[in-house]
Formats: sequence, C-alpha cells, structure tokens
Amino acid sequence: MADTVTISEPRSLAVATIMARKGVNEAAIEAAVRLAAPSQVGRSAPPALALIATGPGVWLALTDEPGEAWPDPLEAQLGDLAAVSDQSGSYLVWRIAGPGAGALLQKGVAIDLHPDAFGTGASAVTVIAHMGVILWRPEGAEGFEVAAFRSYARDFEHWLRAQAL
Amino acid sequence: MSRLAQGGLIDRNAPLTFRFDGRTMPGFAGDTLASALVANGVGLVGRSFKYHRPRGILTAGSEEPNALVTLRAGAKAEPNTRATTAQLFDGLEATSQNRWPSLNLDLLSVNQLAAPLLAAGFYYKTFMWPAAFWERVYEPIIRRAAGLGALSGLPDPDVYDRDHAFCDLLVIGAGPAGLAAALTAGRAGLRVVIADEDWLPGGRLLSDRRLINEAPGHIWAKAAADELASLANVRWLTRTSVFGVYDGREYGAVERLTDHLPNTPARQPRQRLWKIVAKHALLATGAIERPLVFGGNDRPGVMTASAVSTYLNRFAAAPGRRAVVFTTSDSGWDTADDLIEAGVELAAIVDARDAPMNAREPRIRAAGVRILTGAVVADAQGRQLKSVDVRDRDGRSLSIACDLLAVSGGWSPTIGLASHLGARPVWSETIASFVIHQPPPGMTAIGAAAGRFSLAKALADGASEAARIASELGRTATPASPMHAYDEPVAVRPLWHVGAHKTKAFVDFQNDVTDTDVALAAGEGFTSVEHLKRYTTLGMATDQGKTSQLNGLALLAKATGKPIDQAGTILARPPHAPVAIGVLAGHHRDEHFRPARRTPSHDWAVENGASFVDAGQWKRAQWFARPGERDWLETVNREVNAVRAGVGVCDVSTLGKIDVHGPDAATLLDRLYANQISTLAVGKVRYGLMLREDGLVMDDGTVSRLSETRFFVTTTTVNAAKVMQHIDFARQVLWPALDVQACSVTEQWATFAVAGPKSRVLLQNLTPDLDLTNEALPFMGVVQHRWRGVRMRIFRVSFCGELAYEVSVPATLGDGLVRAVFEAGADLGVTAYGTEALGVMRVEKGHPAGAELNGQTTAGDLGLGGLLSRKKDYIGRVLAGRPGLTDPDRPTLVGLRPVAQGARIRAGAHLLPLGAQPAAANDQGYVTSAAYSPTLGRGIALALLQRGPARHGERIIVHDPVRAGDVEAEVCAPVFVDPQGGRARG
Amino acid sequence: MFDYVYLRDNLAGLMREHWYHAQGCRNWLVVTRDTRTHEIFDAALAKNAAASEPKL
Repeated sequence: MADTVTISEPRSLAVATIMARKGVNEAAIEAAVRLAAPSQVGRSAPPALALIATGPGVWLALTDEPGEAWPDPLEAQLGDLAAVSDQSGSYLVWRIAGPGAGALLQKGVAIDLHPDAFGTGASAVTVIAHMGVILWRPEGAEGFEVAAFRSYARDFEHWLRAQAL
Repeated sequence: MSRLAQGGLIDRNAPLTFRFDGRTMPGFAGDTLASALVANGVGLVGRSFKYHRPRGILTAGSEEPNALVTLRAGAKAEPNTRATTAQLFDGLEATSQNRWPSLNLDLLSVNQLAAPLLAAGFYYKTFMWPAAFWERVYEPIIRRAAGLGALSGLPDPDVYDRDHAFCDLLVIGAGPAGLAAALTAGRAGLRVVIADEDWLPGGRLLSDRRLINEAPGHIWAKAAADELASLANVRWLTRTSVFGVYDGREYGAVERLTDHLPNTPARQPRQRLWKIVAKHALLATGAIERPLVFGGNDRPGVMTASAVSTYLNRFAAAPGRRAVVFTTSDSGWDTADDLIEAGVELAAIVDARDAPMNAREPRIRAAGVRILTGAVVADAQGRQLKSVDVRDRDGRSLSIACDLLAVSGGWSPTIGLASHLGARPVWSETIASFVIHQPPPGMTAIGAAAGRFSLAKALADGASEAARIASELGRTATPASPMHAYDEPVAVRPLWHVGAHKTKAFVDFQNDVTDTDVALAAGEGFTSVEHLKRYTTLGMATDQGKTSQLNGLALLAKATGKPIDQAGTILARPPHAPVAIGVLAGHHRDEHFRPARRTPSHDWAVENGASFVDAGQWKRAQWFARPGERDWLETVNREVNAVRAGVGVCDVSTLGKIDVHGPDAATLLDRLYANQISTLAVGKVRYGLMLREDGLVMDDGTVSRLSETRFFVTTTTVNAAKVMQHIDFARQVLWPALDVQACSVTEQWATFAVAGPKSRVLLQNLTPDLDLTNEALPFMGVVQHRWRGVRMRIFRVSFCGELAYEVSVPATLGDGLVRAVFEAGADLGVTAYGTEALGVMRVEKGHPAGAELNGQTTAGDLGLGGLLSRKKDYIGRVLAGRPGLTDPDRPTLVGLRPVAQGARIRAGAHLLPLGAQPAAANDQGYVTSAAYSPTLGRGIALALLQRGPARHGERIIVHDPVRAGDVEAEVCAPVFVDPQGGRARG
Repeated sequence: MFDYVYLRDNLAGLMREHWYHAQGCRNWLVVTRDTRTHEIFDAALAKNAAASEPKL
C-alpha cells in the first residue's frame, strides 16, 4: 500500500438496535433521542450518541458514554416509539484512518467508497471476506469505523492486517 | 530465423538469458518467450494434444493454440502458459509439454499411425469391450497419453489479492481505439478504468508500421498512456485481462503483478482479482486473424501473417529465411511489405482472390516477388516447413521452397466477452465474420472489435463513443487532439477451404480437430453447431476456439448446405482466457477458507485443553481431554458422569437468539410455532416447535417471556439464520399489519449451561443475593439479575435431563463469567463438558436434535404430535394434515438397545425385521443418533421405525453392511435415563 | 391444494419474486425480473406491497 493506514485496536462500545414500531417515522425516533443531524449518522447534544441507519426503520445506536444500565435510559426515552435491544456484546469497532483507509477497505467491500459516493455521514451494512460488517464515515473525524461481530474478531483482524501489508 | 540487426521495441541494452527444455539461450528485455525462441531459431515448441504432431508458434498473441509450455519449475510451475504472452525475464525456465521422452523424439507420436481410429468422437465408439478392461486397462493408458501440461502437485506458495473498482467507463483494450476513448473520457473528468493484457500500451500499434500524426503509432500510444497515467481519475491496469462479464454491469479481471519478475518479493501478491462495476464499457479488444484450412497447415513454420509482422516489427525477430505469403485479404500484403523491409527473402505471394488491387503491389513486384492470384496453397510440406504446394488459377500444381508461410484468412472481431450474458453474435457479410448483436447492458464495441478495421476508424470510434458517453453522464468532452491515420482498405474474400489437399488439414489446432472430423460429424448427424462442438471438441480447448471457431462453422455450413448465418454460432463463456484458481480464492484458503466464529469462552477453553469441532462456522469445544486419558471416549464418559453426579459447564452461546418485541409479538409467535405461545406467563420458558409451510419440522428451541410485549427466542445453532429469515418473512411478507419487531441477539449473549445435581449450589455461590430455590426459580422459568454491573439472565431449562440452568451475560463478560463459574464451583468438582458429552446426554433423554430434525420428519414422527395446537392456526398446520404426513406407517421415533452387551449401533444403519432379506422392500426405518451411554454402560440409539411406538420389546436387525455389520437390537421407548423426568424439576 | 403445493408457473419473461437482503438490511423485497435476461424492472419493500398481491 502506497498510502499510510492506521488500524486501531478493536473497541467495545455501548450499542443497541432500535427498531421503529409500526407507523412511527424516522423523525420521531431521532427527536426522541434529541438528535440534530439527519438520518444516517449524527452526533447529538449529550448523551453523545451515534445513530446509524441499517435498514428502513432500523438503527444501530453507539456511544462510549453510556452511563448506568444501558440501554434502559434510551428505551425509556423512546417509550412506545421503538423496540430496543442491547447489542453491546455483539460488536467490536475498529477505526481505520489515514490517506490509505478507503483504498484498504475498498479491497474487501463491493460498495463504492469514493468520497463522492460515500461521503461523511454515509453508512452501509455489507460484507468483507464473508463476514458481515457495518461501516460508516463518522462525523467530525476522518477515516472509517467498521463494526463486526465479536465472534469474527480474530478472522476480521487477520484480514485487516493482511491488507495493510 | 534470427534476430534482426536493428529495429524492434526490445531493449538491446538489457540482454537476458533463459532456458527452454534445458537449453540456455539469449534474449532481451521486451521479448516474449515466443519472440526470443523465434530469434533463437527454435521452430519446434510442442506436440499436439491427440496426435502428438510437432508444432511451432502460430501467432503472437493470447489466441495462441500451439506454443503451450510449462513456465517455471517446482511449486510455482504453471502448465499451459502461452509462450506468446509470457514476458521474458532473466533466468526464465520453460519446458515443452505433452511429449515423451523429448520434444524431438516423442514416442507418443505413434498415435498418428492410429489416426483413422482416433477421429472425432472415437471415444464414443471404442474402448468399450470387454467392459472390465475400461477401469483396469484403457483408462490408465488414456490418462497417461492424454492431457496437456501437468500440475506440480505442490501447494501454491503465492499470495493473491483482490480489489473492487467503480467507474463511469471501463475501456477493455489499450490499442488505438481504447486509448483514444480513454483519453477523451479521462480529459472530460470521467472515472475511467482502462485495462490491457500486454505490458506496453498500443495493441496492434506495436505490431505494424502504421503512422499516427506522421509518427510511428507506438510513440503516439506511449504519449497517450503517459497522459492517462497522470490523470487522477483514470486507473490504468497493465498486464490485466478482463476475463468475464457478469450481471449488474460487473466485470472480472486478473492483474498479473509478478509473473514477469524472476522472484516474487516476499508477501507481494502474485496476481490480483478485480471486480469492476462500470456504468459503461467499451470493448476495444481488436480482432484475431484467422488461419486458413489446407494440408499441413499445422507444420512448424506456418504462422499467421500478422504474427510474422509482429515478430519482425516489435521484436526484431525473423521467423524464417525464405517466406511465402498465402492470403485472402489485404492485410497479407502488409506482411509482405514488412518482410521486404526487414530484409527477409519473400519468394511469393499467393492471393486466393482473382484480382486483388493493393497499393503495395508495385513495390513488392519490384522486389522480385512472384505474385500468384486466384491461387491457393494446397499442402505445406516438411516435418518443419520446407516447401509449399500451390495450385494456381488454372489448376496447375507448383512447389515453392520456403521455411516460413505467412497465412492471412481475414479477421474475426474479438467479441467473446460480449456473449458471456447469453446473446449470440450475428453474421456480417461485409467482413465475413461475426459481430455483436445484443451487447451486455452498457457495452459498445469500437474499432476492430466492431468490425471496423482501419486505424483511422479505430481512433475515430474511440473518441466519438467516449464523447457520447461523457455527454450522457452530463460532462462535456473537449474536442480530441488530432489523430491522423490512414483509413486503409481491408477487403477480404473468404476462403473457407482450399479444396483438394493431400495431408491433414487442421481446423482446431489445440484439440487436433481436422476438416475431415467436421465432415464426419456432419455426416453422422451432428449438424447443429452445439453438437459439432461437443462431438469433435472443436473450440473446447484452453483457447476456446479463438483461431478455429469460424473456420469450423464455415465447414459445417458447407457440409450441411446451409449459409453460414444460418448455421449458428456457439457462445463464449467466462473466463475468456485461463485464470488461476488461486486468484479467485484470494485470501480464502487453508484455515481462512471461510471465516470461523469463536465463542466468548474460546480462549478459556483452549487453556483448558479443549478439542474443537466445526458447527457451521462456529468452533465449539467438543471435549476437554485430561492428561492420561486413553481416548476421546474415556474423556466423554468422564464428562457425562461428572454432570449426572455433580455439576458440569458447557458453552451454549452458539444457539440462535432472537428478541421478538411489540404489541403483536405474542400473536406472531402463535402463528410461527405449532404450540401455544401467547399463554406463556411472564417469567416463564416454554419449548417451541416450528414447522415449515409444508408441515415438516423446521426447528425447535425455547421461548421465554420477559414482559407482556418482550419475548426471547432460541433456535438450534445451525438454523439460527434460517429462523431469523423466517421470522422476517412472517413479519414483512405474510402479516405486515402486525406491530412486531425482531432482531438477532445471538452475538449479544454469552450463555453457559450449568447442569447437574449440584448446579443450584454452584449458582448460589456465584450469585449469593439471588433466590434460586425451586419456588423462586421453578423449572422452565427465567429470572434477571445484575452481575458485575451488567444484566444477567438465568433460565431454568435442561437439555441433559439433570437439574440444570442456562446463564447468560453480554458477551463482553463471557470470559469473565465462565471463570467466575469455575471459581464458584471449585469445591464441587465442577467439570467442563463439550458437545460430545452434550450429545450423549440428550440421546440418553431422547431429545430430538439435528439428526432427527432432518427436514423429512413431522412432529408426529418425533413423538411430538401432542404439541400441535388445535386452538389456533400456525404455519404448517394445513399441509401437516396431508395423508402422507399422517400415515400411521411412517417411521416414528423409538429407542434401540443392542442385545449383545458390547455391541455398538451406528447412525445411518437401516432397520429390518428379524429374518428378512436385506432389500429395500423390507426396509422399515433407520438409526438417527447413536452413542455409548456411560450411565447405562452400553450402547444406545434413537431411530425412526415404522409403527415404532407399537413395537416396544420387539427385536429387529440393525443392518449396517458398509461399516461394522449387522446388530440385533431391542426396540424400546426413546428415553433411557430418568423416564419420568423428575431430576430436572427438583 | 395439490396445485398450490406442487405446481409452479415457469415463466419466460417478467416474474415477481421474493428476495431477502440477508447481508444488508434484512428486508424482504418483491422484485420484478425478466427471467430471460435477468434485467430487474422493479424492487419494492415487501411490507409495503399491497396485501392483495399473490404470494409466491
């Protein structure tokens, strides 16, 4: 790889799946979690929570400041608007940064990651080397974040490190 | 044959040496293996597939059918490499193929004597009698005699890479048309990918002496390539073959990164697979020159005319000393001119056309070349070419001495890629060849690939098509800089067969198919082009008929009396040229063939000596051997005994887990499960049985109710994804009006079974604040707790039949939990157990698992008919009532005990009544699961037996002819330990 | 019942069928595809399709 890439150690975050109840629209969900930003990825006023769309009416919420008893407060906030499931155990998150980050990930991803096609705030649920991943360009930081199942951690790390050579 | 003193695009300042068949020879940087062999006067490069005829180099491109060599030695040896495209490097080693003991003396060429027996389709008519000889005699001999090169048999030591590209325009081919297109599109700001299989840009500009803007074409090509390389929006893929076209405007290509280097740097990938998605594609792949069909047309020394020009002009290598040109088109005259320019003696031009008019004629005549029009070469003579027999316009024969025959039968546009999605090309009378009819979506052919052969047209096509694409995408193309070239004539009069000839005339060189084979096939009724292909094997070799298909079709048309455009044509299929399997596999080989999923306790299990088994993608601990244990059976018996007498712990995190939430969650679950779910109270757990729509059992698991609207569902490990998909189908397709949400939480929870009479004590040690008495947490109940700051759930369920629990925490703390459990049970002799012991215990209890839920069994077959609710509708209810699924004679679940104490029953064995002949008519069922039960001290099994429940006590035969032999067994109830089920409920 | 269980139309032309985006959004789609050319003419979320559409 000509361009440099930094690959972080995988992190555990507080994560939850939010699934809108029937007839509830996106705006109502976002308002309930006090988000200012549009639907895909957004950083809100406290609690600092990223909301990533993973399908119609479905989001992954991530935060590294969960407070007590995650995701109970989030669930209380949402009330009858959505179903909430804790997913903090399910995912590990890697940050891939540097000028070569996009090129590295493009080797495994069959979606166009060019900045014009996948800009800041864009997200996708896709597959890398037969492992399901969720990847996004976070607001306010360069590079990408990639979430993969904890059970794939060793094999996903292996793929990442092999590409960086 | 020799190296010309000047000219060519080789680097005479960079000499190299290489070895072919053990002989060391010189070459230059810029040579191919073929051009270096030509320069060294090597005429014989291989032996043909069937007849072992001596063969030389026919072409200068990737369509080469003859010059197939094994490149490199050892583990990196690659058979069937075309010498014409192998870039020469210092120290290159190549060996010829398909000959023994040597190329010059090939004893297997004795096949030629048997030629009449080896005609097309011979293997359908021979080697059939006596029948026993096929396996022992004929097949081994044929295997040794047949085949091209051989694999090394060693693991591939190279690393392969993969990448994805997305573009507005993919230009396939960097000849004049492709370069003009890429320049226009690149300058207009489009995202462009341009790929060429060669290492130099220019395509045919490297082979002929045509001018662009009054300078040699290859100079224009280099300038174009340099400009493209400087554009950030253009990706230039050199040494890259686009091998396939796929749905969704996706193209497959292979980039060769190190095949031209003497040594691959460590960890550097050898080749890279590209998956390219292109809104538009331009097929600028040029055209392939056709050989002509005449006697001896496969002799070393016969070459296509454009190949002769390539060796002369690009590589400064003369393929002979005295040449004859045999042509049916104007391009043969270009080669004649090139020969004269290079100083090679040109004895004659034989043009099959009656009155060809060519601008080069005065110069050629002035050089003293004999010009014969309306004439053909009937036979080429010599083991290596030494003369040709010409038949002139009056039918007279004359012999002309020569060691090189340059043949030009016209040009076929290279359109294989365009038929990969199934559209057949159509005949063009003007160019006497096939052109694209329905290209894949987004693809257009330009230049020679579209049948527009002149250089001026190629350049104009490229520029205009790229400009059209740019404007379709909303960009403006700046007017192209001047590209002046001559719009040369390319008239051709097709000559599909020369008429009478004395020696063998070949159509497909690689598979040794002759003109008589084609006639034979037609005569035997194989008159469809698809039958011709398969019966004669024409077009089925590694070159996919690039130099043979059209000639074969023309002969078929003649034999069947049809015009060519009605004879049809065959489709090309990916890969367009051979692709190494290693590059398709890429990262996925050996242990990384597919990803492995590891449970939260994996590292702990490794520390504790676990042996692992694959359960789908998961690695599960199978058993935990202790030092001194003789074999796995001793280990597993110990684990089973430890659970039933004390307490054991098993990681069951791999089972599927699904949250089902919402006001209508209970309603949905009632419709998915055969038994009643909505009546489940909060804090309770129930066994759930799911049927497929056709009434057969799909999966089983548990359902827990955590609140009015929150349910937690478990599935078997292997069906986790299938059940999730099924629930989504029900929610979204069948009943979208229901307000219910579901998502997978398989990865969220680490779950451990804590099982055995001492399990309650252990858990009480682990969670002293939690009331775990039978009253507080009864059988089939669930409680929630907080442990080390996270949510913990304890389910009281039992798969093994003992007092047992399943304890879950978020997977982040799974490792911490299992270690804490072992600490809490340290004084209780807590024992780790794996899937094997788990399996033994569930067989002892008669619980159905994967072997019984095999997609062929109903609830009734498994003794679960009582679970089917009569109070509600659910998926599978109606079709489960079909007569075939309620037939009382269906094999139904029973237990089996071998009569003899030490005897063993194996799963898969079939069941026969005592004294019955082993025949399908007497087959009454089969064994689904079997185990050695340390609890009982004997082997046991579960089986499906016709009318099983009515036959307890009866003795039957367990028939196992392929493995251990028959065993007599007694039929019994399918439960061997604690039939009343009291142990789990205490 | 026999027809429903065992017989399927084998269309040469436009066909409506169910697809499941297993590796993405986990939604079922109703896709209209030409079986001869694989060209996709329409794709819509199944949960939004009218309840009266025939289910395959």
